[in-house]
Amino acid sequence: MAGNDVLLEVKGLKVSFGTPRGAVKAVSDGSFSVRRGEVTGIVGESGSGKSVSAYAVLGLLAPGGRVEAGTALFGGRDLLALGEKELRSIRGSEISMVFQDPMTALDPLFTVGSFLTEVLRSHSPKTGRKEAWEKSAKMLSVMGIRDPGDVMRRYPDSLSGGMCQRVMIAAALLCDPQLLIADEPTTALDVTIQEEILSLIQRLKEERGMSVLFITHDLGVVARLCDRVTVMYGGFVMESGSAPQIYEEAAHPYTKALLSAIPRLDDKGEEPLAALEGEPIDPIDLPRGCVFAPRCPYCFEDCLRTRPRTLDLGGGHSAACHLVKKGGRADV
Amino acid sequence: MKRSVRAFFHDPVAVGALAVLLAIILFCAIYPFAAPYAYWEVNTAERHQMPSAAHPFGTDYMGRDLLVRMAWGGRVTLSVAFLTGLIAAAAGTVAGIACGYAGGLVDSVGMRVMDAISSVPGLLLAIVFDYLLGMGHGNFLFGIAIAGIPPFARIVRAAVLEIGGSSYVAASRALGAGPLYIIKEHVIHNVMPLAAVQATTSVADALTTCTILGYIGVGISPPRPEWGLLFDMGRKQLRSMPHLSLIPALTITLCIICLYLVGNGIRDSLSAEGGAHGR
Amino acid sequence: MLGYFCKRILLIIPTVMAVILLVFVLMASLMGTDTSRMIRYEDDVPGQAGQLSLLEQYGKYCYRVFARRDFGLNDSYNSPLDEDLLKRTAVTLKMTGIGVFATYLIGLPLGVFAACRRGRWQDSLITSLTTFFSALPSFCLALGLVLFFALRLRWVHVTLQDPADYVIPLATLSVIGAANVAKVTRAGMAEVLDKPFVLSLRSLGLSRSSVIFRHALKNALIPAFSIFNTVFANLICGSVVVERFFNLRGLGTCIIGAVGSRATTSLMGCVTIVALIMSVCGVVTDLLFVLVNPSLRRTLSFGSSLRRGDRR
Repeated sequence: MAGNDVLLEVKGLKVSFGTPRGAVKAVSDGSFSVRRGEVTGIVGESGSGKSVSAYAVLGLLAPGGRVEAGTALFGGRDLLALGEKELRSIRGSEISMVFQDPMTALDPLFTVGSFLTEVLRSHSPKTGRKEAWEKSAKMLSVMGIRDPGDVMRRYPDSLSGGMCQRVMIAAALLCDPQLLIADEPTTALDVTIQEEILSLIQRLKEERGMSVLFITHDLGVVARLCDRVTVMYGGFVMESGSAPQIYEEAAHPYTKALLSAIPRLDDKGEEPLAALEGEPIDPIDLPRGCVFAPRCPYCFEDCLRTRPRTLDLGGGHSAACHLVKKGGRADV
Repeated sequence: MKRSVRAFFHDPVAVGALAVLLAIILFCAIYPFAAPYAYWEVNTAERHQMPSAAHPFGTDYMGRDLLVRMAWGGRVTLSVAFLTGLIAAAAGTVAGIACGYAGGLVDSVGMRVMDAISSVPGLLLAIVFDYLLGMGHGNFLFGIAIAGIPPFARIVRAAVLEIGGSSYVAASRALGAGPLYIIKEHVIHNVMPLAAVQATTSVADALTTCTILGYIGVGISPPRPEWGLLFDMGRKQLRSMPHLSLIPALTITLCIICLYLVGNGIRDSLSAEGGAHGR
Repeated sequence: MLGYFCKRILLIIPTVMAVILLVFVLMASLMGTDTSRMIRYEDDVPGQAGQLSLLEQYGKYCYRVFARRDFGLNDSYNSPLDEDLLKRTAVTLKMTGIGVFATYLIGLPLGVFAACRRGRWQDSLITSLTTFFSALPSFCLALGLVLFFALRLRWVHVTLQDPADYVIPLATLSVIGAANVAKVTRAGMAEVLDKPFVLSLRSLGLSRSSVIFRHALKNALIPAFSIFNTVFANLICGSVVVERFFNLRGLGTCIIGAVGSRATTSLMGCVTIVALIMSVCGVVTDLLFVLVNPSLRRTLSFGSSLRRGDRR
């Protein structure tokens, strides 16, 4: 792997939230990377630490959240070590973010136009009001909005969910960031709108050579969009690799379980969809061994005793499982 | 519920405030029977006395003992405050549940009425009620109680809307639960904690209005003492004998602080259980 | 929008007339005294006034008040009420007007500050203080301020000789209102700061001051302004106490005097003026509401209530 190919490299990220019951270990070992011009997907169920990892990178953790360890190298700087002021200049201009529920992601008291121009002007104060307005309108039409002038004058509550998400993406891309973090951007939308937003993101990636960190719980979406995939569970990375590696040669039992839970069109209905037994782990009281062990169908003694180390399987493919042997897959 | 009661009694501040409040109430209830003086007992030989062993709070311009007058005043003030506060609580809870649950026309008319009531200065409401319904018969009580309803109704209504919109009520309804069952099982159960907290505020507000009425000489008429009235009588000797007005003022303030702390304790103990909705 | 407010303003007088009617009916049915001559006028001819029915009296009162600014005769002095009443109104309005400004000037920043320091000691301090002050009877506060600033420090006079002395009554009025405003602002602000759009604004690199003051505060102003009516109502109540405490000749002392001497005409006058003030306040509240929430302009229709908690 060429080092200069990597745009963002997160290593050993550890995030916890202080609560009255004790520290919630939201992310215990988060490591992933985004290469230039590629889409990296982070997959996991809720509570896997996928969103928290992204928030931590941009310094947007909710009150009580704390980054305890780790590095996030972006263009030679460690984002986790930067102050609020430096981070703010990076947010929106170099790294942008798009959120799950577009209807609530826009300030209801400001028109789309004043919102977009404010974002633009906060990063390049020299831009004139009129110029900012025109630039924003142009960005809206890039997003596939037919009548930007009309939308610019509207308040968010008169826009549909898909429209709001387009506006949000427009705001995120207004200052030409190198990296777009998309936190389940389609989860709250209708299926048909989901499709439109996904193809929009794909088109933008291709046209602008932009890198995307795509956070989702939907492996189907990942298959369609992502070049690389990182699978997280309970705050740990279970497996990561290129999309074909994950889909064709999944090494980790958790990844396999996730894959077998996707309904397939070519499925003849002979085998029932596999459902994962058990409950997600308690993030305050993590097990001593592998976090997936309590639900793993192949769990054995070692799994309960020690945490598996991440093994490089070659070709950028790695997995953290006691069953995985160097250079091969789990013997199951 | 049991857990939150236990949590409440583990909170030293709340328990202390409750103890002070109970002590004041008990004192007002018992002391008039044990006191060496009556509240109307004029003693011209002992006018304008500073606090002493015979008169722990001193005497007023007619030589009346302030301590026994404070106790009698407390009977009036505190019973008015608790009575009207709790009436407002009950009426507000019913109105809030009705508006929140019925929705539609009932809700919009009901909330408009609440808006209208809260835009009338509460004190004026009490004054006008007292004036119209005849003074000296305690009619100002209606005014205080009515003025206390809107905040209650709003809080309860908001909670009912939140609960009514929740999935577990939808599930309950889908299982065939009738409206009365839902109100009984889900709504009242969840609204009660909130109402308990608001009730302490409501009593404190009623206490404030009652003493203000006494202070401006509406509602309770002399010689029957009331804390606000006692304050007003002492105010005339503010320079020479500040304790005559300071003692009633501090007592009122103490009661209000204690009510607030008790309310705080209730809220904290409920959130410890995790059963309280809203903030 | 303009039409909406024209209607609202035109509705003020009918609203006040409805309040007067209510009081008239209540008086006639509940007072149990002679209701044939409740309001006395300067040009009353003895012996003739007894003929008017309740409705006629009501009509006459409304006509006199709105067309001729004649509030009737002062019951205890037999002199026309209008001049005295207007002078008193001016005193009360001056106090409450400055009071309402001071109230928001103190309350808003406190609430915003507390919300931004949520969960820390500054927040609990402000929350405790505001809850305490909003419940405190105003005369207790007035007593404390007078004892400390006038009698101990001797900075001001209790008898209000200089304009500077009015600081004490004004402080008494506004501190309690400010506590209420701060409470509501803090709650509103805390709620807004938890909303997803605050996170998305931060993620776009907007400065902290823009996120807090331009976006979050504007949203938090909605609940803060929606209690404008209540704040003003409380200020009127407060001014009754303050006027008595500091011996000011305002509406409050007029009400107290009228109740004490059972002067129906004076009390009616005061009620009418307070009803007028509160109706104007209602319009101001709606205006403030639209001012901070421009998206409401489109949805404004006649008769719709703006201040509904469920319309967020």
